[in-house]
Amino acid sequence: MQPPLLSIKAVQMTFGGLMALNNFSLEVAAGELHGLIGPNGAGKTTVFNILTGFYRPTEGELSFAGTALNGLSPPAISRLGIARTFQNIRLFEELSVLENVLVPFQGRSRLSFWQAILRTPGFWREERWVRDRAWELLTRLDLAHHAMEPAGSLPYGQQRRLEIARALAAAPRLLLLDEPAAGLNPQETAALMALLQDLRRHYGLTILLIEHNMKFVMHICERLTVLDHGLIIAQGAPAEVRRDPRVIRAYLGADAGA
Amino acid sequence: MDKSSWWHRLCTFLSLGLLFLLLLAAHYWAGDYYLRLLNTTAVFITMAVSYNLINGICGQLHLGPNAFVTLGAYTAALLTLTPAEKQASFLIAPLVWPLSDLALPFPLALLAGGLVAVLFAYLTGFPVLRVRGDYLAIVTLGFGEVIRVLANNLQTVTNGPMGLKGLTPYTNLWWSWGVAVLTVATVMGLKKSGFGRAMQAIRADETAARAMGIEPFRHLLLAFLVSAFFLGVAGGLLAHLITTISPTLFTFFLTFNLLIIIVLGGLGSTTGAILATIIITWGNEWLRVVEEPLDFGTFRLPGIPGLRTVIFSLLLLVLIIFYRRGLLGRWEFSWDWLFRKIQGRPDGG
Repeated sequence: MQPPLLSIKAVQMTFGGLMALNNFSLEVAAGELHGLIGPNGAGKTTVFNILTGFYRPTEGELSFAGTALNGLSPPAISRLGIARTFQNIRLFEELSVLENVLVPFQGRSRLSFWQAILRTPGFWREERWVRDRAWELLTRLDLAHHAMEPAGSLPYGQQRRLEIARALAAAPRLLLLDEPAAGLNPQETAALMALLQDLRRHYGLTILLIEHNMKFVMHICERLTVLDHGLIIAQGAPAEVRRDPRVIRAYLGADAGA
Repeated sequence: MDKSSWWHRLCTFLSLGLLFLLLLAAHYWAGDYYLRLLNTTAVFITMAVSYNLINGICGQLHLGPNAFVTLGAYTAALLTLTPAEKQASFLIAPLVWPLSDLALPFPLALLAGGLVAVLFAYLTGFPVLRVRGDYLAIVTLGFGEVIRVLANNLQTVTNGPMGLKGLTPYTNLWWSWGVAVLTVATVMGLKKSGFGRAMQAIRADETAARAMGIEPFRHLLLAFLVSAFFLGVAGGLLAHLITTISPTLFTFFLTFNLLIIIVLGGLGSTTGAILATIIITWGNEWLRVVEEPLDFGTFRLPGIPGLRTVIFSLLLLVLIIFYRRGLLGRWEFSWDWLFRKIQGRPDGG
């Protein structure tokens, strides 16, 4: 069997006396669409923050495509091919929609300061290439006609899409989506499902997503991991997870499972 | 796109040609007073635009540009003075050896001034860029003061409070405006590249920028060095414009004036920094009228010294109330914009 693209082994994360994650292990195979669910405060976003280098886990090992992630900075992890979106949208609001998508390319650029200042042919070649890729992404995510508007002026649903476009501009192999459907209406949610399937096929993405919308999760994810109070309480296919009494208890309260 | 960028280049060359002709006209016909004013304007454009790179484009509140200007001014001045002139100036204690015998042509002295400022920026960049916000402001303010105190007390290098006198007035329209154009071109070019986009992303949301693969330290240090270079060169130009420098010239008030200029123009807007520099330097001259006795025929107003400062303060208050983001906000002039205005097309697209 192929080794998993992402492997998290026995990660523990404590904040002072609070145990945010306890013995958390997860393997995501290349090409998989994996859902991370659980009640509020279960530690889902903590997993993302550890994976992208914003938190250093107290214990445990992380590896991505054979490279250890422990101790790497967020920009270094981004360059390895992990990109994320944020639960509370964090766009570069004053920059235009196009510029938002252009920024991640600088993270991988090898252009020197002098090439940029002297406007060498190499600079123009890269600038053209980068702009073409950015337009391609904006077109695919249906944002091209807003390209010159400030990102902060977009309606909410489009801001969520722009976050995905910006993450894709970092050329990830693994995309982490933090509540991509939050605040979207049913039509927008359905469109998002179709979009994610399309992006996944087209860019050969592996996706790990956090979501509270159960219909969305059950419909789109191939495997689920359920977290509660920093502990994994269930892992498996959506149909199995849905019937798991511990999951039902975590979501609906202690009496519901009886 | 290629065709329009060709047009833009042509327009840029034409406007540079126009600037050249205007300077040529000033060179032949303008009196000393206006020459001085034009030179001062150019030096302040250089300082404001390069200072704006850190404060406006990168969004880091840096309060020590006076340090870089001081370093550039003293370095350039010490290098253009002849050994004999230096011996005559340093009365209390002689100048230390390599500097006492060294004399360089003006362009090399300017370059050296810029490079010394860059070296200082590089060394202080490591501690300074570890912090953000108020802390960065305080640390840079501290470094600015350190340099001023050093200038005041390093008798054998700077001649202490007496400063350096009798510099040759090498700074002319060609040097001052040449450097100003180079600064504007560099800062604008940097802003419209991947580096500049990364700097603006750091300003907007550093966490998100890091998640997108941007290394904040690398980009902020770059901005810091570029800014320091031009501030240093501007210091050298300033020294050879007023021909006498002393530590009192480079106090926090210099920083404060630059800060007013870039806030007035709109933080992050190079166009705004240029416009605000012109308004402040020329306004300051035109307002001299109010400090002189005024004769209205039927009654006379005696001149009130210091009234200019009062008027400026009031104007700034009005500005802060009605234009919170400065005159131009983050707007930047572009040929595209001008063509659209001429053809009456709406903005955007």
